[in-house]
Amino acid sequence: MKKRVLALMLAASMCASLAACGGSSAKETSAPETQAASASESEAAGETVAEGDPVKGGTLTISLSASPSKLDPIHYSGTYESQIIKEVCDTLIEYNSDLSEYVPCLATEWTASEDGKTYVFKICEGVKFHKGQYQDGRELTAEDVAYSLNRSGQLSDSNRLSMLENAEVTGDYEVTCTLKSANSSFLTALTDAGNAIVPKEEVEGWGDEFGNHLVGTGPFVLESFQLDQQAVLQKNADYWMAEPNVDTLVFKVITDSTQAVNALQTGEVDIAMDLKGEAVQAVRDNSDLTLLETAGLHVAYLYFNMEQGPTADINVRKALIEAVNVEEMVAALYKYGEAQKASLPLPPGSWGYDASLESKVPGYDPEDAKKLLAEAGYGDGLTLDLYISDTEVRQNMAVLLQAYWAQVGVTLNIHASEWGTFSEVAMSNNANVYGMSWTWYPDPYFFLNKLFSTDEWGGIGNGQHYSKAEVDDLLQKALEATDQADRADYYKQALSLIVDDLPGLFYANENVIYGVNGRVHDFIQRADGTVKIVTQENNVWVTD
Amino acid sequence: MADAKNMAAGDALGMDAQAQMLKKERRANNVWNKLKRNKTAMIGLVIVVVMVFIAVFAPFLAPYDPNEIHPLDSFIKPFSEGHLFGTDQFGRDLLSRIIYGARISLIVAVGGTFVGGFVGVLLGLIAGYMGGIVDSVIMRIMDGFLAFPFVLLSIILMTVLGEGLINVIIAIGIGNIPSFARVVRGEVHIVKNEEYCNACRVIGVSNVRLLFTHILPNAISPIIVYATLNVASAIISEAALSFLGLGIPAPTASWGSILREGKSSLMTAPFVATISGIFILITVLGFNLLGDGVRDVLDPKMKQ
Repeated sequence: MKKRVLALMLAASMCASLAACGGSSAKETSAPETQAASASESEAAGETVAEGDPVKGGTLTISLSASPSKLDPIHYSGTYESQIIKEVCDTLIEYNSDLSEYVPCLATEWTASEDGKTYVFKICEGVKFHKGQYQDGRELTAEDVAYSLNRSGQLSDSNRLSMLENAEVTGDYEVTCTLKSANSSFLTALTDAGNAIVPKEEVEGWGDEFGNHLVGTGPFVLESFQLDQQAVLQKNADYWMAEPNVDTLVFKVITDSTQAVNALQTGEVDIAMDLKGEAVQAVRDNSDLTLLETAGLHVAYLYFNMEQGPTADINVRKALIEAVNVEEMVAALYKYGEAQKASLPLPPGSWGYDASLESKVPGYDPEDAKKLLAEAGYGDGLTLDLYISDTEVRQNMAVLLQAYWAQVGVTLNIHASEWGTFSEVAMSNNANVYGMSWTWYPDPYFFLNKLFSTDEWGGIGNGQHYSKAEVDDLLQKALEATDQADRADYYKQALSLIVDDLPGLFYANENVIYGVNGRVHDFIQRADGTVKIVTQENNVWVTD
Repeated sequence: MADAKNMAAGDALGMDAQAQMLKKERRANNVWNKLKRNKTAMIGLVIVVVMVFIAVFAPFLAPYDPNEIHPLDSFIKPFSEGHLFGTDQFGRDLLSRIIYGARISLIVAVGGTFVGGFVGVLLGLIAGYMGGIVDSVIMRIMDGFLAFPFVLLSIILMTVLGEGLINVIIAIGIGNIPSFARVVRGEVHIVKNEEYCNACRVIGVSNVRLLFTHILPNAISPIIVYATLNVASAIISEAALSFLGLGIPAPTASWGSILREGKSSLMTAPFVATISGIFILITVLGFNLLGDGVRDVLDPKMKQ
């Protein structure tokens, strides 16, 4: 349980703080989405006990650590939004709770062609949409699936299905998807909330307002959505998978971790997501509450400007990395064990991770840092601008960084701003250093391609303009390969080249941490930070 | 003769005694002496003087560099050896940060009051003296400013101006302009119709000279009182802005930013927020007591 909760929290928090934060911005935010989706296979998630018979009814309240704003799948940008979308809508396929394999959802089965360019999906029969303004709870058809996928493929703000060439109906309950080129991340992308299946009438009827009147086939019906406050969902008694045990599901926005824990202690919320700092301890100390904690698929890092300014020089980057005592910094930032020290731009939970590369990252050596800076012509000092989003953990990191770098003669100006401003600066590469984080799926594609592919220049992931032909080449090969072992091999090679270039300082993998009230049963925490109330594996219920 | 001489002597004695009594009375009515008799005002003054002393001599008083981090020595408890007030989450000495924080807090508070006072007094003088349309325009603009809650206005200004010491002073200063203008305008309205002002006009004294050499000095008392009290609220404003993360950029300490940092560790290390909060409390109290005392002394209508 603990782990699952953690994973969720992490994802949420990451989103907020870093790229993940994407919540605020649309396109750039592809990164944020990542956070939400990520999960590590290796990490077992936590779950709450499900002893006794499930009780029907009651209200489950979950606190979100940032405010969801856009609920239209093609426009959503942060984890917080995907939480709600995924309760209202279903995707074609899903990850299981430990993110180790795909499980059927609206698609009962699927086959891929030899060349990896064509996928055929069988669609579940008898699934009904929620009743809405423009349709009366009709049955889901193959047309809806093709429509939704094509819509996302063409219009997704965060390019969530950019590999799709076309989806077409090829049978009563059959959809065939053609990809632009073989892409092994296609199935993973289908599990994303951004590629959820929605009814055409509602989308066209509501137009830009669709997000506020989201309709899908999911376990809960969106009853009301108040920006910056809450979203209230009622159960879909006819849900095709199983009738939800919980009658009402409420997502409340509580951005402050301490407030979230207070709300948890008073019973105002049942699940508090993304706990940080001493809030974590408060839950540990309270016997009525359970702390769910799991290693998230998360990396917190500093990303240097690879193109302009002093940091374009690899020796300066090396000096800046050597000047930081990462171990000490992580211990100071995450006093309650909310994260582990990291080295690489990929979380250990991803199957592309290669621990043997860790030793390539320069260790703490302030003397050598001074020497390198002097050789690079900055012996008299150097002034750098750091941009971060204005979350507490990022600001604390900046203060420590400022102190470490001051010891080698580097003056750091900290610019903390809300997510929108931050992402703009980071995407346009207008600063020297960026402090951010990334969370997504275990597939290394969602880290390495997004952060280091030349195609991603101008996105929030690679706004810093990292570019290396060999890396691009390897990343492309990894996408075209179908066997996971081959793919992992390509990713490891790419990772090795990337690490040699010292594009950033990757310092921590944050956990996903939730606080859960004892009245919540059968809740499973996932490393990607998504909260699922009704799945094939669990159906959350609450007691009074 | 003798009588006359005696009388003269007696007169002389009487004059002397009278002069002495006058002198005594003047001394007793002297602002400072009046203030000295006001115990609470003196307490306030002592607090203010101590705080100013701490701020001015911060580099000599602080035992450590306020920005020096020791991540592994975080949250050392107060009254530990070497750290009277303990350390914060980055292992920085809290006493040193409080001492340096006094500098920032006082500079911002006094600077903000000065900026607001300067502009506000000028506008108030013009509005009050000119009257008519000028008065209406200026005062309606001031009313417009007042329609925004002070903190909200400061937040908007800080968002526009960006972080930084000067910007905080400007933001707080602008927020203070309307109330200064109001105070001064009201006072000018009373003073400008006094006999001596009319007399000045009759002998052809220019408007500017009349405003600054006759009206302003006679309207100064309420300005001084208001300014003193305003410093107290400016300290709170600075703390509020820093608390919201809109004040002085890190790592520079101000009482508000220490309070902010302490907020996230209220359960494990309550002393960080408590100590900085107590310093804000005491200093604000000091300025308020002093301001009240000065008002008692300067306002002839407030007889005890």
